[in-house]
Amino acid sequence: MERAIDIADLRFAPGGDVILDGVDLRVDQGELVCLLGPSGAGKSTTLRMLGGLMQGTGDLRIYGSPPSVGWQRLAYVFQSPRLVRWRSAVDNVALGIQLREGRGSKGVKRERALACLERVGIPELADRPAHLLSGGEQQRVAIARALALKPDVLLMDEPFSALDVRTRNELRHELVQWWQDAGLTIVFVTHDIDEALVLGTRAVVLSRKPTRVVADVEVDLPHPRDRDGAAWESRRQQVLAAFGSVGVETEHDDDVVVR
Amino acid sequence: MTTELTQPPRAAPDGAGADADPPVVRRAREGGRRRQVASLALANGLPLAALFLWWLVAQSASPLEIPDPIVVVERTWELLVGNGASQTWTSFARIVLSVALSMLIGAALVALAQLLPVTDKLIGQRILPFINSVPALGWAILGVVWFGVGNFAVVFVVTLILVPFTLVNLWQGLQALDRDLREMGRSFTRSRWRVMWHVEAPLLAPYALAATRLSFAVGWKVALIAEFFGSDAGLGLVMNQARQLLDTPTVFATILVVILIVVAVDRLVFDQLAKRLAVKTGTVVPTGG
Repeated sequence: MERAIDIADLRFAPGGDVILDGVDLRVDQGELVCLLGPSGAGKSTTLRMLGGLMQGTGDLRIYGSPPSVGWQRLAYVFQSPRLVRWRSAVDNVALGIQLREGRGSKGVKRERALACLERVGIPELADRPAHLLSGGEQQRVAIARALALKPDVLLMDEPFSALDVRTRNELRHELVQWWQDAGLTIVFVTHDIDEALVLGTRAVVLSRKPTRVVADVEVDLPHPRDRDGAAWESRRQQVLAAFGSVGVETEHDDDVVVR
Repeated sequence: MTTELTQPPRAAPDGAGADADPPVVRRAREGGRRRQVASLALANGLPLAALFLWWLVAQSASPLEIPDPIVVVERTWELLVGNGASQTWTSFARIVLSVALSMLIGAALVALAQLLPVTDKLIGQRILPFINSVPALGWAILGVVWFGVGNFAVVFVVTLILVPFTLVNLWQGLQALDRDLREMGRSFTRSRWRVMWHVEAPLLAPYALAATRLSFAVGWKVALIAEFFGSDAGLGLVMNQARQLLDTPTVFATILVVILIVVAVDRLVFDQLAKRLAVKTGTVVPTGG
């Protein structure tokens, strides 16, 4: 299996405040790895550093290359959709292509954008202005915008945390399908234990800052997952035990989340 | 004006269930209506009263000091569509050209500071304070000394006076730019130029509009000064000649012409542009009224 991402001894201490205290993470091609940790643990920071959007110290590799080269194989989906208000859904997807590829036929880019909207299930909303889309629809557009680049690795930063429960569950389910269809590698940041266990092939448990990896729980269960099964429950207990061992509290919301 | 143009979208007013409102709400709404009527009456009544007072005083005062409003209106008409129209529209054309030039120069300087951060201090802390503080009169005199009497001198002066307005507005717009959207842009490309063109420029559009609106109004003030000293045509020249001939009605009429044009362009051009921008971006942009 090809190594998609290799993070070794990543450190980040802005102004002496240690946030990342030597984080190690390896992700193979085709995995869906969930980074699970409390807020302020530097999960988003780690994602940003992977794409070279922030600088830290340590060794970061994307398919063997540093972020300054490897960024072209990545695409981001952020917590908020970050669409531009003045463009329609399809033109927001095309914006991603324009930004990455520059000049080229607008018609072709639009066609590709439309195909991606179809993939995320909202081709009928293509011409709707971004600001008239619901939160879930906007996030679908943001995912289409990322998929349109045909990335090898998709970096997702709590993309469903601002959505209502139903939409969130729908999107989780569909994300798994997109991931399987496209043969993607996904690094998915979340503070929601159940989300990590529904989605991930692995759940990497992070401590509170100064952050390091506490546990790496393999979730070798087929999708879609039965949340009541004994196998599921055992993985969950493993994650809870890992958080418990470093004093991170959890609470029950719609899912079990870490604070 | 900048704040007007960049207010966050307001929630749509909830029209449902108006009848079911408790008395307190109804009373508050009636109070609001009464205030609106009073505000309208004040806004229109007071100027009308002032106009009447002007007419009244003019009946007995010397026309050299307070001319009859009727005569002023006649002269104004002359300047807009009659004999003097070429003067008015000469000034108009010069101002439009200067506004466009100042926008280009302002945008270029801001873009330069963005693309080459090393020029940031030079532009923000040296060039800006410099052109911002040179008095219009100074440029007007130097414009004539350097370029002689004519179009070039006037456009030169007005443009230089307007550049700080566009520069400051665009600069502020840049400070207020949505960080999340910029980061989104950066995550897709390393081309500074593409992020600027596709993401930042549209975000700056409301600021550019505010700057243009302001520039146009200020442009008239400055253009007349420049033409007063260094022009063979334009409303400033009309003003200068009227001064020499002690033709006070024409001085009044010139002022009125400028007011009419600035207000008309504000309402008919800038308000409409702002509305269109608002529709396109889904934000509520209150108009000048």
